[in-house]
Amino acid sequence: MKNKLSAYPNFFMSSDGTIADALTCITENKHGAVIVVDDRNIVYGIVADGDVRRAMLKGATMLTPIMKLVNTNSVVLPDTINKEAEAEKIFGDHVGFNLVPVVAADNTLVDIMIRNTSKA
Amino acid sequence: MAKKQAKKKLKIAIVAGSRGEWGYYQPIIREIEKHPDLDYGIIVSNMHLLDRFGSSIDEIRREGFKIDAVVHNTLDGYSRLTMAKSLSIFMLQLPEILHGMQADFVLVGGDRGEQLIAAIVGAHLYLPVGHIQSGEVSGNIDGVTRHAITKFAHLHFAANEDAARRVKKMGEEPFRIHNVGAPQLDDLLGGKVTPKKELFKKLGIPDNGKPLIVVAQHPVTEEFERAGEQMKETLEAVKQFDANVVIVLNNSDAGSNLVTKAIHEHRTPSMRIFPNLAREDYAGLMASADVLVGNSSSGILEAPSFKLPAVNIGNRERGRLQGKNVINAGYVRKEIQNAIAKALSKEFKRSLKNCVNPYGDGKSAKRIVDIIAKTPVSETLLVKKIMY
Repeated sequence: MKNKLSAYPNFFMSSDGTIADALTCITENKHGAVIVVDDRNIVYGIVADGDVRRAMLKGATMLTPIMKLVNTNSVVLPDTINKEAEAEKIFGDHVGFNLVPVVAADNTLVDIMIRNTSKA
Repeated sequence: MAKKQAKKKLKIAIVAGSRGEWGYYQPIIREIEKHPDLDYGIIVSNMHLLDRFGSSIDEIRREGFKIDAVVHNTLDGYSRLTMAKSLSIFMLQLPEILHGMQADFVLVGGDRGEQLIAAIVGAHLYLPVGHIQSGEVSGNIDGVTRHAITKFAHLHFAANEDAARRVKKMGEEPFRIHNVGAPQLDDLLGGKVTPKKELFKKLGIPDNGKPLIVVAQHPVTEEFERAGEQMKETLEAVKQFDANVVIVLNNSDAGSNLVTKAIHEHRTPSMRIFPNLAREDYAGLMASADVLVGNSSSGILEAPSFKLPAVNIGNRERGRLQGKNVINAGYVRKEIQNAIAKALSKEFKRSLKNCVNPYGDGKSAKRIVDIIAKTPVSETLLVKKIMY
């Protein structure tokens, strides 16, 4: 399972991180969002660039903790189902979604479904 | 005539540290605003300023209330050490703030550390101190803090007969003790409640006819190492029901990091999590929910007004006067699960048809403000005699 995640180094970040860390990841991964996990890889949610923009308009800075803006009610997929097909459906239904975390029963991140943007 | 106009209004300093007391203050401030002889200024501190707890100061500002001072006192870390040290920072700044804002009266509420600090500072400055929600029982350091505040306060606003009696037993003179009911009910019974349809849309709760379980569980200071484990038991119990679940995130007490971790580890994807909810949305949740689970005081104080069953877990709220809506449970998942099942049963719901809230009728704020306005600031008020 570990090797799957190591293929996506900039698609997830630590819940102890800041807006600066999130912007670094989002810039590197070119998918407009980053998954937030804790030290045991438990998924806390997703931060998209729009969340960062809105937080900054309200006075957040590069050093604001990411937990302030993380969307804790984001869509995730369990690793037991046909995740590729489910992810396609989610990407089809939600134009704004580019990443979907795949989680084990204990909500640890095991894989990431990524919208294929190369054709766009 | 000119002399009369020049008379200074009694300026009441209100110490706001967390969402808890803010529930009482809001209706009181509205009453103060209506009163010709009274004025107020809010001192905002502690949790209201913390990003991770939703920066509820924004809510205070949005309502247009007057903030006289802002004190960032809470150190990161959320341990016993930082909790105690954070209080010293508040104490360091408060005397000059009260002096600068020309406060004539200090109003504190509840049982949190910064409220005690404000009572200590007020009493030392020979300013009368009024204490809302005095005499209640809470099961940990908060409970000790509440009764310590009583010793520094000059006017005690108890929310029920039980609490008033306890304050009297602490040796307080009867003229200082007023049973006024719980002012946080004023707002709720006054009608500021987000309607169900709007609330479900706002919070992303599906309208699928399943029961709605609201979880609000805070760490208990004495047991903070176990806070994560306790949250896990609650969530595992909640998972046994085919229901919509909303989790309202905990406060800044020691142990809250563990609780946050446990929530994210044991949640299911469909559970909605909110770090801070506007008062009217929380009221809306209580009006729409089928059961409130956890150890939030709102299960004891406010839920009875909505005839909402509350599963009260553990020691935090033990010993407080409880309405018929409360079902007590220990920290074990099976016990919690049984309590939720009972709460969701038709028989229990039926038994709450005539549920009366022992904490009052929603007219407390006016009583409190009237008492403050008509009590002369004199030696009699300021020099305390001990009755034991």
